Amino acid sequence: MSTNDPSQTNGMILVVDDTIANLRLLIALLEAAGYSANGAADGETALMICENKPPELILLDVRMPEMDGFEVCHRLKLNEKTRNIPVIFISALDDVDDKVKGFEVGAVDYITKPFRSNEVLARVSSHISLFRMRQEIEQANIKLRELDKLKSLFIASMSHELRTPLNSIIGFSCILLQGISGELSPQQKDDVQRINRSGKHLLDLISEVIDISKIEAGRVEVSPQQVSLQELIQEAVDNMLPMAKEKNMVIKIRTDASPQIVTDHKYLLQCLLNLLSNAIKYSVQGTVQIHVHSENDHIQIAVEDNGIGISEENITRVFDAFERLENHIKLQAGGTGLGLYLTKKIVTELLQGKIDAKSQENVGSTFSLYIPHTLAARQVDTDELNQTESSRPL
Amino acid sequence: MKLALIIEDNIDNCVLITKILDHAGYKTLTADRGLQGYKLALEKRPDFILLDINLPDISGEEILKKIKQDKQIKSIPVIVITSNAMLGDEARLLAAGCNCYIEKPIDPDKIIKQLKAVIGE
Ligand SMILES: Nc1ncnc2c1ncn2[C@@H]1O[C@H](COP(=O)(O)OP(=O)(O)O)[C@@H](O)[C@H]1O
Ligand SMILES: [Mg+2]
Repeated sequence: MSTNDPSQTNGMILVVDDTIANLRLLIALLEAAGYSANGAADGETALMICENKPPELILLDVRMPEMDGFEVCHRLKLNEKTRNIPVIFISALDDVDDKVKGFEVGAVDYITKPFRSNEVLARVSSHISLFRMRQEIEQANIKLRELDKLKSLFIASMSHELRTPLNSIIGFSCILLQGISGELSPQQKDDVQRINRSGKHLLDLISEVIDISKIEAGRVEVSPQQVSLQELIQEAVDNMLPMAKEKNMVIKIRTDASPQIVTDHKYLLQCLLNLLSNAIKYSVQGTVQIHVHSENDHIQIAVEDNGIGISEENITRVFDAFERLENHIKLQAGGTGLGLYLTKKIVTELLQGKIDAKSQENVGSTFSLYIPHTLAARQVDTDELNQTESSRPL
Repeated sequence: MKLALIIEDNIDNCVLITKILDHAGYKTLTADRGLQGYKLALEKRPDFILLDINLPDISGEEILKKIKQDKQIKSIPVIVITSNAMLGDEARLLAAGCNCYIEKPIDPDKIIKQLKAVIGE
């Protein structure tokens, strides 16, 4: 590969040594091999050069007055701009402790003096090509992440566009069903009902896909605020009450604590609604219980049902996208298989929390959210802000 | 018969809302642009306004503010229609003076109930 060919070099190697004779010797050796080399006789100068024009490799003497090589290396590693430059220590000492310390402060290799020219060149060549490969991979990774965000953004925008005609399909089938445009025969009613139901299912799918891809594109802003957990849970329960009533189920709130926490109200509510709707959907009857339990730095909100449960081999799959387990209730329950996938995404990526599930088949399930007492405000970098402002909102 | 002003750019949605209101016994007036809607509100003084939040000329939120800051028409109830309600948006819209907040897809029963509550029928 061309990266192994020193003549292809466009970066340079920095040699740092307080003994001028050594400095000259190493530079001459490197230049003879086709590298471009630069010298620094002390640590300060070396750091300055690295800051201004980062080299591709540094050969660094350990023993120097003022600032020794370890210190130089340590400082290089603290600086974002220089931390990735590979450092090879060169020292007269053949001391194992020194070598270990060298690696500890972040060196990639160690050469002892007196050195053999071909050993120096071999090590230099291999570390330069490693360094270049690593940079290529990092560049490729950055590019991939950008493309991935773009993909998510595209999906979010497209889904958003899908929603408008879908709202018409649902709305008009709704007024047909209500007889606003004239009475329908039972046959016609049944047909329109199917259109309406499919439309609603599609809308659920689209809404969830929008949420997921917005999170993946980094387009979601959380707004941490004081949240009364008691009120939030009550809000969720009030929302789910009609659905519970339909199945003659009751929802009980059992809290040993009702703390104020700092989190994103909207997203925590969305998660809780998802868990509650599952608890109702995947039960035939019975009670859904919400337990709140306060720990040191987080609260646990558990949603417990006595429904159909989930077998041990399936329990981890429920958080996968589009996963809907086979059971007798599946068809009637309806769903997209995206609810828990989205919920987990919100909990881990937006609320900085965790989610888990415990279940026993035919006994019931408990899904728990673990939410930090205080959600740290996310730092939005200016780049991202500019991007958000310049494009149309989703 | 009370008069409703519908400000909505999507023709299908506009027809949908018109049909629902018509059926419930209201007269309707429509505008497919925000500013046009605002002018109609000043001219015809409807009993209530249904306002879509996504409009091509100015955002529905801007129109809402314009209406609510205009002494002549600020007492007219405005019902804002949005797709996917965000709780944050809701707070913002309420602060801007919106009287009620309806999410798409539109449910005929619900929309009539809600607007009756808003206009006090
Ligand atoms: N409380 C529960 N009890 C039993 N099974 C559940 C429960 N919650 C989720 N599941 C299973 O996990 C699957 C994935 O859940 P979810 O992602 O919410 O999708 P959906 O509810 O749309 O099918 C469900 O289809 C169901 O098989
Ligand atoms: Mg679900």
